[in-house]
Amino acid sequence: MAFAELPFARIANQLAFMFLLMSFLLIIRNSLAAQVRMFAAQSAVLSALAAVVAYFGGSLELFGVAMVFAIMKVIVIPSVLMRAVTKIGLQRRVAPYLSTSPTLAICGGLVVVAFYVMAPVTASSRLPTADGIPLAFAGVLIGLFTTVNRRRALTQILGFLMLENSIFMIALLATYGVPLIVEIGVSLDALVAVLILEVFIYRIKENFESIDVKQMRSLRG
Amino acid sequence: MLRCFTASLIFFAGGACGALVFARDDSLCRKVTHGLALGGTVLILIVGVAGLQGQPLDLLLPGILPAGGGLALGLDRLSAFFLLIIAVGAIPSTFYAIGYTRHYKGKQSGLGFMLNIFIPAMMLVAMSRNVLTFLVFWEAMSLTSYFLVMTDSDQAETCGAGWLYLVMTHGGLACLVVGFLAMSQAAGSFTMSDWVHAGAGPDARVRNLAFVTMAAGFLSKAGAIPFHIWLPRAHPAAPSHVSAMMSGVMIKLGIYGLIRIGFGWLGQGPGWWGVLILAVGAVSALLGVLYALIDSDLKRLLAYSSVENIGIILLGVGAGLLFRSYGLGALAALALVAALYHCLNHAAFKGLLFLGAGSVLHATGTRNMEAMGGLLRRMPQTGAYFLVGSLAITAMPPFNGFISEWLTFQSLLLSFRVQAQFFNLVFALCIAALALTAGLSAACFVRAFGIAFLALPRGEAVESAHESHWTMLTSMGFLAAACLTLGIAPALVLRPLSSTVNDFIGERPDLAFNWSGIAASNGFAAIDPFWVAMILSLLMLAVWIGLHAMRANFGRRYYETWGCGRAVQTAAFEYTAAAFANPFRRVFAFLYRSVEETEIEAHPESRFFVKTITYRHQSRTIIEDSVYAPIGAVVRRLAAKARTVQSGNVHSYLLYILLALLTLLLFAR
Repeated sequence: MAFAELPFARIANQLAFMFLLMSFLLIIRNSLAAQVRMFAAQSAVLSALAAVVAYFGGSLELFGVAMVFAIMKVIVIPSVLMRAVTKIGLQRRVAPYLSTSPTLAICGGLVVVAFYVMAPVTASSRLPTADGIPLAFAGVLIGLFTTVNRRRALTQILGFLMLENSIFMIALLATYGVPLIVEIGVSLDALVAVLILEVFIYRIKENFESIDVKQMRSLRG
Repeated sequence: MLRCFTASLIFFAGGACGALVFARDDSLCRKVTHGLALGGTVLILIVGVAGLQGQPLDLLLPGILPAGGGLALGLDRLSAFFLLIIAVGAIPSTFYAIGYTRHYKGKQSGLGFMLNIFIPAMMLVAMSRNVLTFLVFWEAMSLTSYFLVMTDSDQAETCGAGWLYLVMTHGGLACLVVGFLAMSQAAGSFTMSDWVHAGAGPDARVRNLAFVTMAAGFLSKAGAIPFHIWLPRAHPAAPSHVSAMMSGVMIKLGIYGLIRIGFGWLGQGPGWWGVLILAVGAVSALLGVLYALIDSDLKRLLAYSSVENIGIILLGVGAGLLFRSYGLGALAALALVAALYHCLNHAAFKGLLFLGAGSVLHATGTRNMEAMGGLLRRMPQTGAYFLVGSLAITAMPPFNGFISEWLTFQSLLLSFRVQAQFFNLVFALCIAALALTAGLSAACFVRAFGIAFLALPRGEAVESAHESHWTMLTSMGFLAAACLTLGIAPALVLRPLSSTVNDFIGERPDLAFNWSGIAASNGFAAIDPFWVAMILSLLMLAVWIGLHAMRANFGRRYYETWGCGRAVQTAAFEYTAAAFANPFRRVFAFLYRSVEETEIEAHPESRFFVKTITYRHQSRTIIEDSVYAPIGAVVRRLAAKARTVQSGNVHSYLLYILLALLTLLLFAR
């Protein structure tokens, strides 16, 4: 591809790979605090990517988006999550259904699926950042899979946030991002969702002495 | 015209808002919501009367409902006639509700809100001109009536009734959607009136499919057998003014839809369309009255009687369809006039009877006729109105039921002009069914009135019964007057009705009438309702004068009657509702398949000294046993299988999402 030689495309692809790498790192860490830190790092990579796209695309608004994104996803949400982790205290282990190696194998498979599914999209896009789209989509699938695989409500939130990050990244790579006002709205939405989920986790823990979602099975009719 | 229509919608919107604003104050909420609803329904009456005089109204708002060609409303004479029916049923019902709902504490807001959507939704159903508009208002009507039925949702019986109603109404909606979409697809238009005009129209197979599915949908709303099972549950459960509106008005919109598809939207059909509707009508009329006859719940009895009357209306509609397919336009018009007239009449007398039953329920706290008796002395006005309603529904002159049943009979009798032996046989059977229905319905209402209002009180509830609130009495008086007027002066209705039918199918009915009399088909049969009424009143006057001439004693006399050797007369010696119905129960045992149990407890010394006798009986309904029970069993089995998917585990639900996403993506590529 002709674009692959441009510095913009090279940097964007590097950052997209780092993003996916962070996803994998997040999966293999098994302490909650480390996972939250990894999420913050992933968000930092993503805001850097946004800044790069803004610089090369010459869009001032996208700089603003990168700023908002960095504040929300790198500072505010991770600190809220950290607070939750310290409050819950006892159950620091993440307790997935599958152990690390099969999880990694499945996530690898999801990346392959993402490349296969997104090939037509990449081919039809004329943007220099198009090569990163399958990586971002792999992030979506991995995020969703994380919510399936994890027993604890808190790690499910992390899966949800990864999913959200990846969707932002697809928007960024495929269309050079969303307008500032939309991004602010989405970020605040995610923050509210996290806050609500946090409260729910406390409630679940208070009532059931555990945040293991499996126990909700008793609600079944 | 348009101004009236808009004003009526504004009234209802105001009523609905008022219900929310004054939710805290029950009394104010009750008066405001029902008062505004009353204003709205009076305006519906004005719009309907103007529409019957031929003023059209066409309204297309493309901005609302952008998908299906916009919100399309229109008013031709047929729609206007149904607006009139809505008004006749809804005006007294809303006024009645002002007094009747006094005891619905804390439910005023919901009741008033739903009522103020329900009534305009019915009006807009009758005015809808394209598919989406029709379905939206149809669903609004169904859902609000469901919520109205669920007013007493703290009772298990009500919840069961509401659930069944919801299932039946949505089953019907599904049928309607299939029919509507099949026709729209085939004709290439979402406007119903374009379906057959455009070129040749869809081929016969599509039209037959659409007729069968849409007829099933409309008949399930109308409550015809075999789709009637929701009526006997929902009507008793709903508040009485709501039952009056649902039974008097809402189920007529099923008939409206049927008339539209049979004579308009789907074009001219083959003869079997008519035979199908005739068969459903005959079965509904007969079975409806037979079930009404043995039921001792007053409101359930009225609900079964609605099934019967829908059957009678369907006989008219079916006869019209059949005549039309044989090219006998004038006879078809006559049959349609009979059906439409009976729709209006049924709205009047069934509304009256349900309101009467509501007053009885309000006063005694029970719907069980076995616990009533002697109410005429305690509630004389309600009793008189209930008697008028009973006479009207059993087709006694000079009340309105007589005219429309007479017209239905004439249109069926004129069927000898159809040159096909099979169809003649069908008509003969329908005539027999209608005759039997008429007789049985008389027995049914003799029983209803006699057991509830005459003789001595059978229970304590009656002792404290009192006459109703004046709003309730006024509403019933209005409907009783309507029954009498429609019975004495049929020309009032027949004149606009024959123009309506002429507009609709392009033929004038084979009917001549003036201010006093009606003659069907060139003097085939004739009647003078006005003179009948005059002679009846003169006869009563003559009896009175004769008695005076004989110097009869009019005072009330207290004598010892011959008591068959019994020392005291108590209510226990009276004829009960079950006993009255027992001969019918025996004659039609194959139908009721009732299970009887008699327990006699005798004195230990001698079996001739009986202490108590207990008689229990349980009737089953054939349709529910043979059609709905197997369907229910299959659904339950499938549901149990489907339940394995519902693991209750959040992770497996998330996994379903992931798998669905992946599958879709891989297939879509």
